[in-house]
Amino acid sequence: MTPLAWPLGDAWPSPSKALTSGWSEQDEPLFAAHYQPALLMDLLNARGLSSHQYLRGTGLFYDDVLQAKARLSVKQWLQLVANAGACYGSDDLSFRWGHALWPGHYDAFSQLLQGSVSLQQSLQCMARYRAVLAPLLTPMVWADQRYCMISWQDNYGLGEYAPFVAEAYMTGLLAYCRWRSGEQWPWRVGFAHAEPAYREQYQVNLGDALFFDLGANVLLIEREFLQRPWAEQLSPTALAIAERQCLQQVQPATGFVALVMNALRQREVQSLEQLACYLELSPATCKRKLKKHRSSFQQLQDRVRLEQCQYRFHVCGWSNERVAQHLGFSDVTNFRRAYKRWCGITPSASKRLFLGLL
Amino acid sequence: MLDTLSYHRHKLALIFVLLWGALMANLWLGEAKGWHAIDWLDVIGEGGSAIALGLWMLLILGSRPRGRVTDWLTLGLGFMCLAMWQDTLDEFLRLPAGQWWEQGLESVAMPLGIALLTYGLFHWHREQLAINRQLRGREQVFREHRWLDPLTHIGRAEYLKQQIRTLSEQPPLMLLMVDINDFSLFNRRFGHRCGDRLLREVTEVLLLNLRQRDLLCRYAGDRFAILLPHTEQLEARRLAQELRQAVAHFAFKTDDGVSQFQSLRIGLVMCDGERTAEQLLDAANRALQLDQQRPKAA
Repeated sequence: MTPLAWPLGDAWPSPSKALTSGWSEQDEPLFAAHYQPALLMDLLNARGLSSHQYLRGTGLFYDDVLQAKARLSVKQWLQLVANAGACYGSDDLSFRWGHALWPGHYDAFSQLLQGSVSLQQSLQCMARYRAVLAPLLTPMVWADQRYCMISWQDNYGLGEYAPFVAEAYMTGLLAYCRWRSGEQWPWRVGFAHAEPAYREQYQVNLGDALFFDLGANVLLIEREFLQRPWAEQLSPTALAIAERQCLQQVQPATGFVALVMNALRQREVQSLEQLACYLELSPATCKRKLKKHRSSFQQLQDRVRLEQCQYRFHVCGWSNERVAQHLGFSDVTNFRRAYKRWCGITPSASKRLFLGLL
Repeated sequence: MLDTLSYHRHKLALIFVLLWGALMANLWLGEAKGWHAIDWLDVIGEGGSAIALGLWMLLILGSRPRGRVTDWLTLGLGFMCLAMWQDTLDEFLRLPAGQWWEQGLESVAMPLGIALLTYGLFHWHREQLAINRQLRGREQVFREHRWLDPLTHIGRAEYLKQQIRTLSEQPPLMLLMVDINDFSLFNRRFGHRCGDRLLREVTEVLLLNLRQRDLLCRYAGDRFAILLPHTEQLEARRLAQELRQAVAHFAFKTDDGVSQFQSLRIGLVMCDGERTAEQLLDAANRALQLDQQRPKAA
């Protein structure tokens, strides 16, 4: 099963063995510091914090950011997030950052998001130009006749910072839709993490249909919204020019975690040894690389399986038996036990929880 | 402290001149006692008191703004210090009998100083009461810093929940949830700094239109919560309408000086003892979503 928002081989290249260095890692300086990270810095500056404070340990200086040439790695970025959380002092930083993310100020890329025709096209842009528009988490769209589910692909392994980034990106997408459509849409918002103490921030920024402890970060909405044209649109010529400018810029390779999860999704690999062979690495190196990205093989495999279950349960409406059979479990009891290990609740409880509002 | 002391240089000069004058007069007129005639216990007791009084005077001057109360306190301590100073000098020098000023310094300066200090302390007490009253009017005495929202300087959600629990023991209590319409679009258009300023100023507008006993908190983002103690539903509706009108007529100036008008959505629930603070807040948020009355901004 592949996500629906973009054709295979185009923006989300099917990993092939020919790609020896076909991935990028979390310590490679790939992302422009004056794009999304700078929006976070703006909020910290407005609070009166000094750049020495929030850039400590990142090896970055604010003057470099102003030069618009500095690039930073995911590792440095997460250090910035950690510093920011420590010195900002309120719970709303991620949400405020989210509001500023899209269309943002990313030259032609922002213009694409200002001019796209529908949510589907906007999401396609985000996935295609993910190095600029959605580097940490990239939206993937799954849909059937009735519902559309957007799940977020963790590209480089966010570890403990996943809740912060998920809050920001999901707030960002909802705020973007609110802005483009001019109305409030009936989103259901589900988070992988447990309900935090500051639920009020979620309510105000993401609405009242909130779910926690789902094991995955997902947004759910009726499918018709995906193709509904935005209220205001850019001239098609301007859009085409922006598109051409974006295409001229070189995109970094897929993130390591995204690559591994994609291989799992395609059922190209089933075990750590197969993965090592697939990536042309020794098993020990492969394990070390996974650890560097705050992940393990088991964890990523569980995440992919959960994602496939949730899609089949929540979007396609399959029964437990059918999903168990599809995923190759010997019986439903085994499947139920495994599902509980993935996200902490049984499949039927998950269905009740998330489909309660469908 | 040195900066503050410089405000009070005239008073300090007066006390210093008096101390210096007493010393000079004593040296001029008196004759030294022999070493054996000096009572060292008295010297330590009286000299130590004089030094301590002088130090207190400096501490008070260093920590207080200029004003009447400060003057009384300084002069009181200053005269007491002077009297003790004269007592100490007496231990070393013997003055001829019938010196009117020596009599004055010893027996008048001390009671005068005590009277001035007492009067000053009484006024200082009244001043402190006034300051406490002023602080209480705004933020119900925040003992915990983490309860205070750093942007608007009103309580945040955690404090609100705690207050709902406390105040719902004395019904009737009403909870209003107030949200600025299209605030995210405002932020997009004018920037988050301008948006922050709007939130601060709307906080002031809301505070000005509430009663003394009401409590305003920032729930999250652009949503505020207001607790109305001892208030019936009808009264709460009237207050909500007043807030709506006040904010609708508030001409916020953007950075370019252009007026921008805002409108509010308000959700209202009555706090009964049966629901928890979280359930009440959820109910108020739902009521807010249902409030479709959106007066068109001018």
